[in-house]
Amino acid sequence: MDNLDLKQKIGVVVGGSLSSGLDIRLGSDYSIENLYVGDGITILGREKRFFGIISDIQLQSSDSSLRSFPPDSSDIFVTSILSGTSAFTILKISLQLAIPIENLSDDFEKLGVNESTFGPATTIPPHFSPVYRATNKDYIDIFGNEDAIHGWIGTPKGRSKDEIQINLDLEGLIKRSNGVFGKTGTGKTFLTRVLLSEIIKKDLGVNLIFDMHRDYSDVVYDESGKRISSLKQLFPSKVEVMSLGKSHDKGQIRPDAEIMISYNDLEVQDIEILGETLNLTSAGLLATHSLERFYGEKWLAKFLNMEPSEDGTNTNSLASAAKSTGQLYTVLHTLWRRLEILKKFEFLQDNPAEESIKRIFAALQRGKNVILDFGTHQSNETAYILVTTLITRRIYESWAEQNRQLIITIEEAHKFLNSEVASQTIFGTIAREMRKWKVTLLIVDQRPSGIDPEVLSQLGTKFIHQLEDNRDIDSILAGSSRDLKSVVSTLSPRQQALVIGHALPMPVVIDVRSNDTLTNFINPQKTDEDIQNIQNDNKDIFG
Amino acid sequence: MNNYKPIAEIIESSTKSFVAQCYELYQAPKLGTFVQTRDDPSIVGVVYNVFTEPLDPSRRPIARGPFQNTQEKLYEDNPHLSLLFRTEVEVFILGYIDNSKKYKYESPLLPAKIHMGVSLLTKEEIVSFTENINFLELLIEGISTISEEIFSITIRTIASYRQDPEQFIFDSGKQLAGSFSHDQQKLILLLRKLGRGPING
Repeated sequence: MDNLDLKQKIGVVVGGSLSSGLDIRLGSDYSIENLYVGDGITILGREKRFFGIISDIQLQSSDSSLRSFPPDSSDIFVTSILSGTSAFTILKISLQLAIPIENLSDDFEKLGVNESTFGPATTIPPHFSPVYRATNKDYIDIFGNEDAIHGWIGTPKGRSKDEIQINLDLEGLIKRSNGVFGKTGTGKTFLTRVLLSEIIKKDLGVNLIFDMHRDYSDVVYDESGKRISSLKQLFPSKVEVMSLGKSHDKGQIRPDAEIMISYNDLEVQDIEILGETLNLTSAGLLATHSLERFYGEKWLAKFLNMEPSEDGTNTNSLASAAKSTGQLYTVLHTLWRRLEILKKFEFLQDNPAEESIKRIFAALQRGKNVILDFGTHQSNETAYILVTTLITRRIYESWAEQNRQLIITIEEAHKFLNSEVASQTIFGTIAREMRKWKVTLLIVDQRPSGIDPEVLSQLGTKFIHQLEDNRDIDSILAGSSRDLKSVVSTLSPRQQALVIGHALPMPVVIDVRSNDTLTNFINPQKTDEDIQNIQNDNKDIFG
Repeated sequence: MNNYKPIAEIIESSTKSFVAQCYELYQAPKLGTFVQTRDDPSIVGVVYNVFTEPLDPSRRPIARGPFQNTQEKLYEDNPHLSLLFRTEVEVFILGYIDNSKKYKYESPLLPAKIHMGVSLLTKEEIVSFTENINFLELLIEGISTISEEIFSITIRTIASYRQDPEQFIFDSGKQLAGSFSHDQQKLILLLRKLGRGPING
């Protein structure tokens, strides 16, 4: 293994375990400041080569008297001799992968990088095995090259982006639900845009994106003022933008259609999910069931059109409804007042002109990605939750016979997937059912502790940006990744993420690919018809 | 075997150390000097004790009083005094030169013979002997015999002969740290002694 001679040995294995991490004693002449938590390392055992990441760094001394009577720091001679010998550094390594040694060869293409070559580490290297910093070649061997199903998402932390690219197994990614997490401002949208862009570019699946803050349907600017193209601009013929209602403020794009929703589309469970947002009482929620039972499918339209009067003789009054359904007047009155907000939504109508949900479904069926732009309703929580839940539910129910993989992107996921509602909402169902109907979720959220733990455990791959709250860090790492806590808390605050899960052979900390590198590079397998469509669309949009 | 003049003769001998009487009274190699026996195999060691004692241990010197002028005058006027004492050196063994003329940093299996001549190593020979850091093994083991001060003097003396004295002292310190993990405070004291720097001359 000649390439190993070129590597610098950084230390040897001196202890530890598979569950809590291996202890590596750093060599006395290797500077601790060259290493950081999250960096990749390789260990040469006797029969296997192991790969892992640094999960913690500790200072120790061979004699406790050094802690009580340390040498004078101005005595450089003494301190420099003791440092690295009696006082030394221990690295904790989280082991991830192991490869049998005879499989390694310089001609890696012969082997192919796949799961049969690499296995998760189920054993550990023996004492005193030499430890090296992972080289660029190691990363390439493990993460492979970009191809029809692998997409470039970033560079390992601390490495040059011209030398190594981390490629994700996109096909494997979208077969399961996944999550992008991190505090506000850490770059979740940037990473999500990379993922969506790669999925669209490689035609691996079709996306339905609920764009609450107009991050994907319109042009945005990054911190340096650079203009980032929208998904529509990158893939004009593959993306349809639909906005909610007749929005007056359209930004820089002209949506392809406007969505209208009928009151009759709303069911009781859609109101239930709004329980917290609209501050509905539990009695009120129960009352909705009675209302639906009594008034049938069109219960909501009827209910909202009633008069808030106590006059029992008026058949259109809340009082008479109370009598008919056996509910208390006060309960219905409160419910009525709280639900009044729905009347303000222009996209919600009794008899809308077009069947928007059908249109969305048709577009998805044809292979077109759909972005739902919330227009003037940007940041209106109620509208977002209501529309997202309703449309998702309908699309999911009808997606059974489809062959394409559908990925549904939702933000503020804790609103849809917190423990109280996770078992009742469509999102909880999709997260749990996994591959049953070829529908998966891509959830984006800043509060993983607010998401039902069972849902979190079902996520295939997690993209974790910086998190501060210990509860958030604990919930996102629950399970086998507890030893990566320090890795998460030492992430850079901007566009750096720990990626862990099925779409990668092992966890890695990446600097996310800059969004201005996203291209609409055409898949060479495109037909002439597709190219003509693209050119027509470009003309439509840009003149 | 070198052709250098012997400067002392072995009067006590073991596999760990030997005592040699210097041919000239008061003309002894200094502490920390490297010497070798004029034997085959030649045993190499370092001077760790220099002392002068009367030939007849039962006859201890008696102070002659403060009336004399100078030391030299005293010995000049009383030549018999030179015959009453002898200067000796104790040498701690660090290794030997084997049949193929290579340095072995191990104890010789048999001691040197009594009356064997002892001569100094040249600067080049000292540098060559200490090229391999393993020479420190026996020296470190023998700290309890030779004392920490002598250990320090030895290293610092060798350093002055080498191209990079500071680096040599530093490397020796690192080796020392490896052997003293059980007693950090003693190690720190030793390192401070080493930190005084190379001894010249």
